[in-house]
Amino acid sequence: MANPVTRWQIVARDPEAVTAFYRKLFGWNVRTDNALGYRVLESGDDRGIDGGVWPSPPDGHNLVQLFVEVDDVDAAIARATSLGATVIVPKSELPDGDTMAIMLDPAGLSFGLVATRNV
Amino acid sequence: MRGRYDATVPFRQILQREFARRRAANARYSLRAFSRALGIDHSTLSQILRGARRVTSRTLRALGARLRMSAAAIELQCAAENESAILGVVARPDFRADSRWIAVVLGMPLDEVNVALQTLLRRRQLILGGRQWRTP
Repeated sequence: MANPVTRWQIVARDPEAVTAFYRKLFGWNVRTDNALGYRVLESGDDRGIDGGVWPSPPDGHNLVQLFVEVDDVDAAIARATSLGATVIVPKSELPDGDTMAIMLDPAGLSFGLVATRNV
Repeated sequence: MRGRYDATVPFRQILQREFARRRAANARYSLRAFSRALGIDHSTLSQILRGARRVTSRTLRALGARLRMSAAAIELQCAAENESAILGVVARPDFRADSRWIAVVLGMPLDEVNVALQTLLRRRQLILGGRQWRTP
């Protein structure tokens, strides 16, 4: 796999306000019909990638993360770790089937690894 | 800032200890007096002390301020209460791997559920295996 970036995510202390801002600014559609109640933002255009908004703890930072699709999350974690990354959220299989992990790269930026549900 | 505050003691116990402390100083100090001092309904306080009612973040922030806890300590305590409540429902036989269901069952805002969920994952206190969530 070419490991494309397939999703972006804003992590925000006030996710509702951030979601409303981008919905109003760009007219993006917001969906929350998933098991985490995750706010998915969709442009409706074939170009570009869709994203989502996730809540940060009250003492957390507002930030943007990119999610890179991989074949095997365990293997990607091992490879990332060997290159100096650290694990923030270990491999987790979400209720809707995707498997993900959140990593911190050597520069201190967090990013996600995601493997979509096997069809 | 994350101080040295220890949020491992449930807020219910903090209230129980505070009530006991006040009663030790004044034997006539009643639960009603305690609820007045905390600005909370008497029966609500009684249910919280008995463990029959969960302490919501909203209530904890109000009571914590009355007990002169620091803002940082209150937030740590809120997080700890939410995390422990979620671990509690995961163990229920009718558990559903769905943040929206957890939010309804616990009367907890969905974003608080997901913040607590992520903390539990980070600390490896909860493992998500699709629809099977379990503690290590």
